[in-house]
Amino acid sequence: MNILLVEDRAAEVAALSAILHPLGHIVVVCAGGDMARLQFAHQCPDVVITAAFVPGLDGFALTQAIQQQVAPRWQPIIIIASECDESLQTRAIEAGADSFLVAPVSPAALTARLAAIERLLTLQRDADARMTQLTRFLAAEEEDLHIARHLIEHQMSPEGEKGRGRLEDPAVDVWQQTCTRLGGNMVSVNRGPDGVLHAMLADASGYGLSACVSLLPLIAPFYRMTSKGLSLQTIVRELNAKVRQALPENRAVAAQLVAVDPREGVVNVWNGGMPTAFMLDGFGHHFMEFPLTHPPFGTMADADFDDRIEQHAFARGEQLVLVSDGLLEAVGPLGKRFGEEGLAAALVGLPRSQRRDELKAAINAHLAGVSPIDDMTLLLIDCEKEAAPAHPQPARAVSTRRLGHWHFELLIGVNEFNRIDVVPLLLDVAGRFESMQGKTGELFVILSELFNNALDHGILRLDSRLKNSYDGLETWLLMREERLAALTHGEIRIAVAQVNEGGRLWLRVHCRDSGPGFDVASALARLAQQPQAHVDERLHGRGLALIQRMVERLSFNESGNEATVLLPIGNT
Amino acid sequence: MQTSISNRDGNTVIMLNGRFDFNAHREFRETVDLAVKEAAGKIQVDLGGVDYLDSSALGMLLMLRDKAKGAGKEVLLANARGAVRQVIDIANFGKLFTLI
Repeated sequence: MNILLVEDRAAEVAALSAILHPLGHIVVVCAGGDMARLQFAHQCPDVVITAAFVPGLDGFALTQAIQQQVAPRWQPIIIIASECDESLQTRAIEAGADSFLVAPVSPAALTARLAAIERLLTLQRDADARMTQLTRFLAAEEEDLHIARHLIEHQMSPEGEKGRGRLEDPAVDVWQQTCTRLGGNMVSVNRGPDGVLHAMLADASGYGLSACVSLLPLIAPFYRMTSKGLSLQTIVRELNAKVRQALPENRAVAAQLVAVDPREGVVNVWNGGMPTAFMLDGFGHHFMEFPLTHPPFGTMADADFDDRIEQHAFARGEQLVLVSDGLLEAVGPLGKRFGEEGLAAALVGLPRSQRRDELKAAINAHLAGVSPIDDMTLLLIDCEKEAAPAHPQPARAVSTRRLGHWHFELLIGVNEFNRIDVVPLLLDVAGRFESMQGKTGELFVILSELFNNALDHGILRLDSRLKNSYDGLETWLLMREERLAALTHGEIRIAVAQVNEGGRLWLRVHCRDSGPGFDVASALARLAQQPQAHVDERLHGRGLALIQRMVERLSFNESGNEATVLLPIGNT
Repeated sequence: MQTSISNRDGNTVIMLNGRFDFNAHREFRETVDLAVKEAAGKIQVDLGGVDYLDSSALGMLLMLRDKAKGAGKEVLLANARGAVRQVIDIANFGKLFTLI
């Protein structure tokens, strides 16, 4: 160690040097207190060893002066007196010395003292290094937060000439409070060319710059694709791929995407890892939920990604509410989270225009001055159907627009008849729509009868009379297989749609085959003659009767190769 | 569709599970042949596990009824519910089978 020895008596200097030198310490000697004080500032010794009484400043005053100078750090100082006096020892400790030794100093005692001091110095040096590092980290963090805040303010909530209007869309109301570390909440809003309002509430894992950087891959694709009028499914699939491509494997971004179509009166929601979104009616009553149905962006490979959306046909005055988990998890001074209950309580009974401010007041009252630990975001989206055009549109356009909220169709050809089990496939798709809950039994009968008629009779031209005996059924089955194998052309198209007509919701199923059709008039006449209580004991030929009694309407085109069925599924 | 046969209270019970339509024809026929041959008392078709049923299933049930009649046995339909019950009712099968 580097030692400053303050002593004016040569014999003492010699005695102490004889102990210190062999231990490998470097010793600088000062003969007086005043000089020692100057030397201390110059030398910065590890340890000061001073005699209690030296010319000029005495050992005690010197100790005091040095400790004041280096505070808040600590300077090891040993005071040596020539007599063992308790009052001197007390003075030494009070002045700020670590040890008080009595001359003649025993080599063992001094060596032990110095070893103890050396250990403490090592600890202090480590602590200092850590402190320096921490200070550097804090400065870097400060800088990161500055950049993150800039990104959030400029890039993510674009207020440029194009972006300005986005968050100020009259249908959108946003309230956001970021926490000091920046929790990575982001709201993006854009209207498509068809007037569809798209909104995204994203919440990256982590804080600060790393959270913000995780959000960056979402921004450009969101605005680009929504401006193009792409479907919500396409958009979420692409965003998932972008996040997966841009971020390391353990980073994911929770997000909720919404598309409000004012023309169709439908809202679509995809919820990946965000809290449950919900609909409020005109009176602020919570009546429908869009729970978390998917993992966050970046979790699934494209092949496993599920782009299914939840859909709701809205009525007048409805509003969609999205929140970030920071809002729900906000903990007040009593340790209670704000929660779904706090949210519902703050919004219930209020008209749309007051909900944002009321929620803000409620969360502030809940937090009562406690800083939030995560970003809190509330996004309110008015769902309002576009007013009907003043001038009547051509009939065709009107009817197209009224086609309802969803529609899908399947075209299947020769190679697939045997390979794809068509009915459960269609049933599975249709069954995912909310309005089909509890209706799949009827839909199964409709799809099964229409498809089997189209294939067996329309395409394969099988005569169902074959089926009228026990063994005939087997023959029929063999013939069916034979003809299917030999089939070279033919196709069946099945379309399923939900239609909104006359204030009611209908399920409409079209089935058209490429065959020549059948004698519709006589078949329908036969059906008409059957009384409701008719008991048909034939083994075949009851399919059409079954459908007809189950649905509102069964009709055919003139040639008989296209059937249409309407099934009531509820009131709008 | 899955089928199984068991004996319950001296009657033969055919349990059906899943989607009962034309695709189930061969399996159903094999089960029926076995049931009619082995049955001591009545033949009970348990539809409790059937999710869906269409007109060809109705035809197959009638086929079973004809076959059982030939062997002097009665066929009961049990546990039809929901959409399955609706189809059975629309076809007025209550007049052809005992529904339990």
